[in-house]
Amino acid sequence: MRENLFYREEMAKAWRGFQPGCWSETIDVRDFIQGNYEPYYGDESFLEHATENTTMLWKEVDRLIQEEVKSNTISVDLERFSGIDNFAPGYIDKDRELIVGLQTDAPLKRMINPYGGFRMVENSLAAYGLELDPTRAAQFQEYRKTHNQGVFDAYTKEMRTVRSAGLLTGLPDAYGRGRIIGDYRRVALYGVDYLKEMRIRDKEELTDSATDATIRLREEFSEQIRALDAIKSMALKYGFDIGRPARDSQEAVQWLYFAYLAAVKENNGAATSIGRNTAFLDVYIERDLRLGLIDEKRAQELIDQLVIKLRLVRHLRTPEYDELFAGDPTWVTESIGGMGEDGRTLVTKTSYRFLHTLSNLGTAPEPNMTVLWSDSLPREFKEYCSHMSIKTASIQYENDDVMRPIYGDDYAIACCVSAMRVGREMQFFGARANLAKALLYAINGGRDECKRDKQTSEPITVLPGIEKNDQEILEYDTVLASFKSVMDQLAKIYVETMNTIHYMHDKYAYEAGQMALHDPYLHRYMAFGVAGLSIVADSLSAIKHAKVRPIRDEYGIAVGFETEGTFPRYGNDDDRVDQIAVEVNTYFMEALKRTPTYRDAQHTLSLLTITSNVAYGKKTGATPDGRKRGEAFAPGANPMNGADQSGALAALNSVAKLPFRDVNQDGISNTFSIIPAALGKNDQERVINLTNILDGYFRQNAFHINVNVMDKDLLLDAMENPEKYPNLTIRVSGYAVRFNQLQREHQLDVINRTFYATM
Amino acid sequence: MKGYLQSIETMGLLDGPGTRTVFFLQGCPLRCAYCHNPDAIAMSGGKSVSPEQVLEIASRYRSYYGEEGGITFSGGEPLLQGAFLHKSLELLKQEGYNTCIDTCGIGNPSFFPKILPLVDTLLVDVKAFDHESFENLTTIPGFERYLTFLESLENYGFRGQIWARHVMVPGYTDNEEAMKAFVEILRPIRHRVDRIEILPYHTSGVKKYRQLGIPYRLEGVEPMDKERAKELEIYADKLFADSLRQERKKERENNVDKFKILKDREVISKIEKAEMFSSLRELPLLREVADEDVDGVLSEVILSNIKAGDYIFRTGDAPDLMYLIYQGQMKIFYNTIDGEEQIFYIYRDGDFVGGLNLLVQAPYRYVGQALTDCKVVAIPKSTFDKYFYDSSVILRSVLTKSFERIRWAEELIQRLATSNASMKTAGLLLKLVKRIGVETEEGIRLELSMNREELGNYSGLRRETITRKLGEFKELGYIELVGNKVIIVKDLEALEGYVL
Repeated sequence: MRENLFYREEMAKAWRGFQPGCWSETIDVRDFIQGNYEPYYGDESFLEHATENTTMLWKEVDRLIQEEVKSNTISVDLERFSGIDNFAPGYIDKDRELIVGLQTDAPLKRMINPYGGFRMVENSLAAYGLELDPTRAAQFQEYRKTHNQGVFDAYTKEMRTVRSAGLLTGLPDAYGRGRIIGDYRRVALYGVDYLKEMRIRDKEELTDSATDATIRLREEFSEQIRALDAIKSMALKYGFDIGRPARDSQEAVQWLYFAYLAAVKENNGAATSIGRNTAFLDVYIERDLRLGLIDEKRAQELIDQLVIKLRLVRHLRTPEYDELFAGDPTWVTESIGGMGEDGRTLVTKTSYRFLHTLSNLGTAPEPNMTVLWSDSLPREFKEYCSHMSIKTASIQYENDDVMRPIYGDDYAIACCVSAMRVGREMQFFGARANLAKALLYAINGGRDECKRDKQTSEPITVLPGIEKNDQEILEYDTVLASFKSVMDQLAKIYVETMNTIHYMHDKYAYEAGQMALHDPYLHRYMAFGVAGLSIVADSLSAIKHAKVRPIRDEYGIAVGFETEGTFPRYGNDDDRVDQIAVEVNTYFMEALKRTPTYRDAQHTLSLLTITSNVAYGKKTGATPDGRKRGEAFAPGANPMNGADQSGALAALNSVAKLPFRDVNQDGISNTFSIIPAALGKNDQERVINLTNILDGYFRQNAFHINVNVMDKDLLLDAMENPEKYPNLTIRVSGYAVRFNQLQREHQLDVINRTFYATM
Repeated sequence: MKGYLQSIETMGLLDGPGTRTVFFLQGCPLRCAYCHNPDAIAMSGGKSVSPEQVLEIASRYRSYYGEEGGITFSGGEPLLQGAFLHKSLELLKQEGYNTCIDTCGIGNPSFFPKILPLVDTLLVDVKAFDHESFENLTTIPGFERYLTFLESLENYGFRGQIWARHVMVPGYTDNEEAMKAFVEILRPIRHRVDRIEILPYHTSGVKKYRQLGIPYRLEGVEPMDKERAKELEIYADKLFADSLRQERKKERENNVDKFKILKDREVISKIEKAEMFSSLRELPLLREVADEDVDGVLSEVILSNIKAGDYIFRTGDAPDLMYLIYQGQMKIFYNTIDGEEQIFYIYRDGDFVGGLNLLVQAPYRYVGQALTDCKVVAIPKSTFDKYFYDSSVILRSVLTKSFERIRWAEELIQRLATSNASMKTAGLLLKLVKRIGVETEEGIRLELSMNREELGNYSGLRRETITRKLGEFKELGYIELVGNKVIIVKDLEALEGYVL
């Protein structure tokens, strides 16, 4: 028998005026939204400016952020370790804060999270000239094992070699895996007490035989129950009882934020995304507006102030980490818009309010604004998004029309491009494999082209059993066959490495707070990744369509390539090469699927590099496409710089061919930069043109695009005179970043990439 | 059949309206000093492509075209490859693509009557404004032939729109006199000109010359100042609009008599009565009701609140009610066969509709929809028959109203048929100024109740076209856009130039 929760006093008080449904008998936020939200088809003319409190508050926060960037120092709480309820309440300017809560007791003061790996903590602190109290450090290490130690206890020699050669990189074996989205809305809608009650019941009902899996689950349920207590207690210190459901819009925003805050207090996951909240919050805001409790100004103020808080999330990172994920990103990804399964749009006034924070507060990299694009989105909303993209270069777009059939209409994006049903699914993040290097292994007999044995100076064999290629001119069929064996071997090691990592992560750095905001039984994805696809496609195309002569060193390692004749390059809408990209990609995915995963996760694969395309390039030798040793890769699924000879749309068409469903189902990242003058003659034209480009691209089932509209000269100037552009934001692979926070080599990589201009 | 291409630009956003796939054809007879595609000049070379391939490539980009985009042939000089261009355009048109060519009008004229009817937008590159400068710039004595090309466009069957462009080089045409000459050259094609563009000379093509080892004739000439070029563009645009105005003024004078008759009738229908009844009583029609009938009428009519977006009547509704707007705005429109909304009138306080339908017992042909929240008085046929039928004054106002609507419809048809997008947009703005314009210090403020789509429908333009036009007018300084719902008219005179 299901219980009608409306009969509970606290629920009845909080839910006055809401349409009951499935959601009022069991936890089902999607059902609540569908039964209660109002789609918005109008334009942005209703939006309000920031209030004085918001403006003053943001001014102070901005000052702190700029100070941190400029001085290149950080503040760290050296007294405590991370945890949901380990810090005293913190404020910026209490009287002006409508929404409260900080990770620690002061803004921008970072936490130490030692559970991922202790060396990581020491290195991070050392990079900023800080040190943990030696006794504390010694005690922690004596009594507590970390995720990183667990992983290295279980790594095989093979895994370690593949890792140190850079064939697999960025593995989450020393930092939080992230990519988990708690359904933070549940706290607002149901209150923590009810969630706890349900989890206790889940645990009691779990009476299966005590196998590994059952024991683990019972332990996890207990952890989750304790985490819910901690969340409640943390909020109580700020003076709020989130045991009960939120009664109005301010509480809904505040409750939701506390739930999210708990996640970033407990974990330092690379990406901790906030989910899909605008339609949900809109229900509360519209109810308050109807009742005359708030006006539009206050509604906007709530969202502005939430966003200020989201812009303050920070973690302690090492310089090496920064190479892969430049600019101190936290991926507070908010998924906006999209369509419902019943054909009504999920665009609400709060979708506008959220994007409008970019105007009210100015641009900033976080939260990572992600618009779920559909052909059926209201035209007004599409044009508003284009307008904001042109103005701020802070929005990314992902194709709701290809995701909705798989994930329904209540999924959200974690990190950059990873979709999952909110609260019902999670993923095991798996960084990426360097396929350009793998291709060189196919030519060099499984030996690394860069790494040498320290004693003998001989090349290191990373993958044994791969035949060395001795051809004077490379033959396509031979190279492809050998490449496939490399991929077969690599795939197996890759899956097993990931299994090891996530086994240990669950054991030593479990995200109890976030998992408490999920269903008890979940669908899991294991998200693998590929870097260097465009190089592989171009290289194989060169071997197939031109004559490629390897230049080999004394060990027979191909250290350079001479190419005679021309060959089609990926990025020109030319099937002769684009289909090679599709084939390689599909083959690798099939190879991955042959090895079973930890907790029966579903294999998925992404084409996403974050900013690691630069680091990958450094570690990879010359490739047959003409790329020199050390040169950066193209980011994500982008064509190589200068490869596209027929303009931007040909490049977009090539990317659009990469298959999402079942192959690159963890996302295909593509970055598109254009100078304003090339996009149209005036603002209105630019908006129409950008909207049509987005429509055209996504109609071909393309998956993702970052849009930057800016002049190259502006970036060059910003590189030389950073103080003139304190908040200049630009989109790179899957996230936005403050340009001044990129290292020079990343800045140059951004600038050197194709900016479409007039011919 | 083959054509020869220098290159393809798949994202052409400046060479014609919307998103366009631009085919740069190889070969040009001119040797323009500033040519930024010197590699497209040679008559030989280039990549060969068939018209069928052109069609196939276009189909790959169709999803990006939106309402206005399509294919542009540029060059080089596309008309030089007449047979190929003709066949390509024919195939494209069969598939419904929007087409554009960027030309100096040089080629085998026997192809012109075949090619030009297939072109939606012609980018006319006006190199120079007199014989001598033309020859100096292009090294070819072709100015007269060029003028003949422009004058013959109509005869060749061209029915599209024209974007007139001119590359402005400092020290050559960067002055008002030159702009006058430019506008004068456009005279024969003035009804088709949709946009005048001044392209400021830039030097980014110079390095191509160095690579190709060709001497560059404008060595040492600085790039054209963009702001000055913009100023002159606005100047040329105003001159152009003014020349149109003069001409249309003459046209209008021929119709003066008809306008007078209309005015006389309006005067007759104006009957003044003292304010002695409630505000309802002051509405047209109701104010004509005899005193002893007032209570009866007011008790029988239905006063209702209609929410913005709700329908008041629809096509096919029986003629048993007529409507009188007490407060608010409604639009009367009709959906055409291809699904587009054609708005006929916007009605506001005191307007009424449906009187004629009651009289002749004809069902409603159009749809009435509230644009804002409205209060509407519905008058049942029985009430109409009982109290209104015998009043000649009321019948006359019903007829006058109907006549006004017919006039409006006629004007609309005329506007749709004979004007280009600039004229239509300017016309719409002026109409709005009259109906809802509020004088403020910044200019005449128009608070719109329609969105862009509806504005477009109202003026017979596509949404993207009207948005583009408003953007142009803004650039020219004629209007200011405040969000999506407010337009401030800054230069009424300039707009009037387009429409009178």
